[in-house]
Amino acid sequence: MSNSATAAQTRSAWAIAALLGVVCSCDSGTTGPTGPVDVGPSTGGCPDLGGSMTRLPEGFCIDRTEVTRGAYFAWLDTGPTTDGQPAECAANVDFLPTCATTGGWGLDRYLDNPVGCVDWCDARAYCEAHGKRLCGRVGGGANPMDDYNDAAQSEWFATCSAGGENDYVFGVNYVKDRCYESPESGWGTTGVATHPECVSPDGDYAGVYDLGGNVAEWENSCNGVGADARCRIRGGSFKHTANGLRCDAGSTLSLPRHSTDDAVGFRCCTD
Amino acid sequence: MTPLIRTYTLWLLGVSLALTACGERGDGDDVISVQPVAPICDFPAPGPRPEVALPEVTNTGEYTLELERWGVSATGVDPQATTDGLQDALDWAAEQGIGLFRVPAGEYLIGEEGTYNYRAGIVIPSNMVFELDANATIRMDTNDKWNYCVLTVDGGQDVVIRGGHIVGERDTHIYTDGGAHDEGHAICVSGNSERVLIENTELREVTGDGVLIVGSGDAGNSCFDITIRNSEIHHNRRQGVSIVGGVRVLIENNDIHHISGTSPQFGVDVESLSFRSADILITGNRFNQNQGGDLVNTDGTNLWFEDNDCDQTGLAERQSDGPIVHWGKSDQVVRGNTITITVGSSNGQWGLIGYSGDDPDREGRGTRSGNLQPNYFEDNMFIGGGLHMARTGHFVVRNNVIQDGTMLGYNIDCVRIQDNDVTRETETYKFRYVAGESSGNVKNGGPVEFLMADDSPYTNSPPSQW
Repeated sequence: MSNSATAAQTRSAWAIAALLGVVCSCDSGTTGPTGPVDVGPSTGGCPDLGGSMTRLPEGFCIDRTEVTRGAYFAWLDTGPTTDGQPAECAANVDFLPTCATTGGWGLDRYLDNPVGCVDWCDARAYCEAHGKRLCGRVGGGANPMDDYNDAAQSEWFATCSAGGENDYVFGVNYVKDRCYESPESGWGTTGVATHPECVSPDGDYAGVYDLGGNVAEWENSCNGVGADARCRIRGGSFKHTANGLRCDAGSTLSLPRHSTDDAVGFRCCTD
Repeated sequence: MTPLIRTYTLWLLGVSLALTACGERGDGDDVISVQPVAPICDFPAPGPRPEVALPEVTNTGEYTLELERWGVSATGVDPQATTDGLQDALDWAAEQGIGLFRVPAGEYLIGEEGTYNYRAGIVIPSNMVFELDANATIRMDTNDKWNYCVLTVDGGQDVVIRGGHIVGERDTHIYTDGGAHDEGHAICVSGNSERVLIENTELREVTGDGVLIVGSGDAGNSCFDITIRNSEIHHNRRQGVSIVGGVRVLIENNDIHHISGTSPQFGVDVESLSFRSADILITGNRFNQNQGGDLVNTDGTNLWFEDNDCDQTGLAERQSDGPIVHWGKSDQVVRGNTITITVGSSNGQWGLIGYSGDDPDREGRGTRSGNLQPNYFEDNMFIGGGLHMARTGHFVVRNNVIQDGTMLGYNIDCVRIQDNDVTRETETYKFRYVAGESSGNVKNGGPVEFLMADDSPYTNSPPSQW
């Protein structure tokens, strides 16, 4: 999300930004109560490219974790082109996170934390580049915004709620700090999969981390096809707590397609 | 009247303590959590803009006070005779069907023994215009009573008090036996009076309030249709105007300033005790240098505070609460005001602040102490301070401009934050556990988005900043 037109230029701008130490709202990252869980390789015949995945009873594969800074930066290192983006992303001239290097975040730091400050188009492009899709409708495509809490329609909601059975990723009832939510101290994201209980108790869905908290996640669910459309944000983040971690939370929560926030990242799905 | 001074430090401590209430650790490692309840966020439109009936004086006769006939002094002496004579003249005029009673220029010193703690003044009859010459002053004589009313409308209907100067004796008052001595008022409107107009007059230097509007008798009673306009109310010890039971009250185009001396020291204070206050329109007034604040609404409903100028400029000490304070049970429309904060208050640099720590029933219900009517804060200009909302809910905050101040929300739900423009180097919008919807807001000249929803309490600043 800057004005460089080519991947090489993007990379240069990114490095310059790192040197300049551009400041935004990102504070230093925090660590979770444990080290990151080794989520292992993909299972169920899901691809490994761009992050470990697992296959769910609904038939699709989903990333086990939010896309990390390390994975995202590695992709940027490949020099992805902004050509070929859909019309609604035509104004997206690079994939640089707007706060990739700010607040003391060097390019080599916090690589296990989820990437934030990416807009919907960045997230879409990353997933597409890895042969996946930004999680949306079961079976592919955009999920209508009104279907945000329909486990038969929303890949993200189906995963979080274990097929519609649970209110929170970790069960029916809220348990404070089961996931990485608005902290009592510190600020910012934490490493993915550092909250081992922030998973579904249902074995069929149990291998997917941080669907509540850490960063909220873009969903391929927008209220229009234009560049100015608003797209859904799912799962709450370190800026949310309590109700905000429900699988169906944020019924009115969305951001403009080209907006970024340090508490918003994404994960990918595929068939 | 209960003094409104509130030790805000204690409230802030309460906020800190409340932070621990979201989850408590048991004996084991598990965290026991209160199950969050989604708020119900209905937003009915504001109540109707209050309309207040003016007096309809049907008596047609006119009379000008004859000093010698009634034994009244216009040279500022002999308060006993002046009080008796003026009262006798008014009573006689009322019997004669006089509708316009004129008081010529002069200094009228009044006051006579009432009770052990009350100094009696003048009672204005119903169905009469009591009109003072521009150079007429009615002044209470020096006394040691806790209570007095220079002029009283008690249980009256269709009364106009117009012109001249109504003056107290705060500087010479004898403050015996300790206590506040804070009930000496320029004009008292009581006894569930109806249709009273006070206009084009000066009300100053009393030990209590410029105007006290107070209900009488059973709980829920009130005075109705009271208008105060085009007047200067200043240098009183307790308040500019107190509404302790007033329904349909208009306070319009007055200068209310330099209220200072004994708490609460507000320009306008609405706190109804057992009575009822509702449908109050405060518009086009200029508030300046009131030591407590300019408006406090503890329990009034459908209060409109519109197009006023609240200015701390000139205050040497911080205001105790203000400039604008609302409590949980009240509801109001605060619209189109310019609020200039220089010295701030004991709460900090805030132009508008809610005291809702008294709101135990709110949690998760999107109400304020059971009041389902939202507060509307719209189209205001804040200069040098901001807007503070905490531990409550149901706000519509839109199209406000805050210059060098903060919009702060702590533990609130059902809020609509729309099209506001905040300019400040740091801490423009500061939220912790805020649930609601936002759109169209501007931060330091650029658009800003907040990840808040009615069902998603949101925080945008680190705990270290709270």
